[in-house]
Amino acid sequence: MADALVQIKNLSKSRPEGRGYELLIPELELRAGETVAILGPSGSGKSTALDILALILQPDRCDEFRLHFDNSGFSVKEAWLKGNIDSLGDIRARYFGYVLQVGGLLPFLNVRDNILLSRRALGLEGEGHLAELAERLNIAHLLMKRIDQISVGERQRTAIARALAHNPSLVLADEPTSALDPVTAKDVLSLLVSSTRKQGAALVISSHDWNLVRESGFRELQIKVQMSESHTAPILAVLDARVRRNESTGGQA
Amino acid sequence: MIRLMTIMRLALADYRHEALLSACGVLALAAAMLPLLVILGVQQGLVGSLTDRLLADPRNLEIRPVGMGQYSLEWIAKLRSNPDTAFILPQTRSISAQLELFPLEPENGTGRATKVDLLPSAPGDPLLEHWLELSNGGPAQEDRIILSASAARKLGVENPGQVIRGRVSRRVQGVYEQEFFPLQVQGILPLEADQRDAAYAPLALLEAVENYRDGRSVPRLNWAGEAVEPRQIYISFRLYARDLDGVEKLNVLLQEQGIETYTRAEEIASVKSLDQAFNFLSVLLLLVVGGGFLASAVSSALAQVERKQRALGVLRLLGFKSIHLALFPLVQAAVTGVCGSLLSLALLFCVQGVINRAFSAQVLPGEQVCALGAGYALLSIIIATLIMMLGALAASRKVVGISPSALIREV
Repeated sequence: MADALVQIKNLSKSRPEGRGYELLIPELELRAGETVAILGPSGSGKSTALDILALILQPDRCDEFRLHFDNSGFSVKEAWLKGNIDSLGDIRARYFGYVLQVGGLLPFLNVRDNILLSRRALGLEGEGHLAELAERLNIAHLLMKRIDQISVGERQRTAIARALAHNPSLVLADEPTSALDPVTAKDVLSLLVSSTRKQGAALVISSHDWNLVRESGFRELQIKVQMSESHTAPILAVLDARVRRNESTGGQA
Repeated sequence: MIRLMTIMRLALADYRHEALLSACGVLALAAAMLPLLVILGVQQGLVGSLTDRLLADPRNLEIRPVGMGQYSLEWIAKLRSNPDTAFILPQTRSISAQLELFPLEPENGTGRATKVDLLPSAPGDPLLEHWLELSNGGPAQEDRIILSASAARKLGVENPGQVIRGRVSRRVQGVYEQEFFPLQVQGILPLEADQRDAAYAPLALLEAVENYRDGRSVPRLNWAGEAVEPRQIYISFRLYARDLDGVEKLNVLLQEQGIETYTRAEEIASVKSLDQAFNFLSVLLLLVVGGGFLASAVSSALAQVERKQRALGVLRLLGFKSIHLALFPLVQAAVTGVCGSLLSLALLFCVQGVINRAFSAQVLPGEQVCALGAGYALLSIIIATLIMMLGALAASRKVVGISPSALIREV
């Protein structure tokens, strides 16, 4: 069994905006190389869960939140408590890749420079495996194009390339196919899965498209939403991490 | 370092990408700076020309003692070492510092004796250096003099190098005595330099004339009389300041010692008060324009960050540190500062040409009404850039506080 990259115990996060709800993650463990999908309806807290995993949203409380990369442990809980935002940024730059819903590409850079940003954020010179990545994602011919000159699907493939350009250990993708038509969505998700597997990275996506996720063979983590009986209490959204592991990733029940 | 360079490149790329907005910022800065630069240019040009005119006449740098005093060689040496002093020489009694001059050939000039005031001079004399363009200033040898235009005309001296005769006389115990001696004219001052019948001579000649008149001997000129002790005390002096500010400082210094003086302080004061008025106006404009522009720079930088916070959120998500992100608005503000001030200087160059052409009849050849010096131009670039960057500091603080969560999904 592969080592755990992420370990979380009894984490909660309240979001005051909108109707107000509280996301609970009783226990979560992510292992190297596995592909995981956080599923749930809109507004159930998928993005909140992903932001917490991406170290950009501070939990209200948690018993444990640890990362294990390159044989060393890092306590996210401690970093948040100390307000050490830059150390979380360093971890993110080194070990994380992030694919946003609509790309999150910078309009003032071309495709190539957008992809290389993740390497530059890590302080790396050169292009690394940009050419191979661009070839694999079929965007090699777009490298010098401006972002407004390429399609939405091409932007998502560019975002995937950026997420992988610095060889991260964990790739997070926030509804990466929600803005795409069904055919393109399937292609992009397939490319995302194959590319992260090829690099040996773990992949966590959030999605409300249950069918697409199931066809792609993800380990499923469902967010179960419970309406509170009290009118004033928040809605509870519980990330159920007890779902059976995907066979293809070598997980276990 | 790579991250630092990357952020700078990103800031510049974004600046280029939003060329229209960036150009608006540059134009706004240039428009705000231009009136201030014009005022500064006029101050530099006008006051500079008037100051140059004052400096061009060394008499404006002269400080004359009123009446007689007791000035030791030590006191004069101390004043000579004052940094504001350009030139000082002791002077003998004015009543005995007079000499009769005759043309060598009786048919020259009026043929009669011309009584001249003897004034001490030496190499480095600002008056003589200015008017005669002498590299070594006044006369160094005892038998050399420089004549005023009026004295030269009366003596029929037309060119330097001509030799004339001097006569000094005295009455000792009722007996009239006189001595003649040759003098070579080293130069002739123009009329505007000195309107009197005057001769500028080494101090040694003035001392010799005074000693002879007092009945003393002057062995080196074979003039008989009582033995003379080396002189320690003088009753007056010729003093020139190094610059216009020095005139005021030396004047104050002498008055503190109870020495009444005469200077052209009023002319200097009028130029200085004009300079001060321009300074006041410039500072006022700088405060008003600078303050206004600082406020505008703050709001504009904050608005820029507000518009770009999603892109900045993505950079934060990718792992760029707070210090790197804080540089983003600072770099853009610096570019606006440099480009805006360069544009305002280019516009000033055009306006300057128009002003100088319009007022060309009112100034002397070579003078300019509006002329901003290179030092001030450089200073204006630095100040404008610093104001812009100061305004962007508020934006930098905001950038440091940006959290990518909730922002990044809108990119």
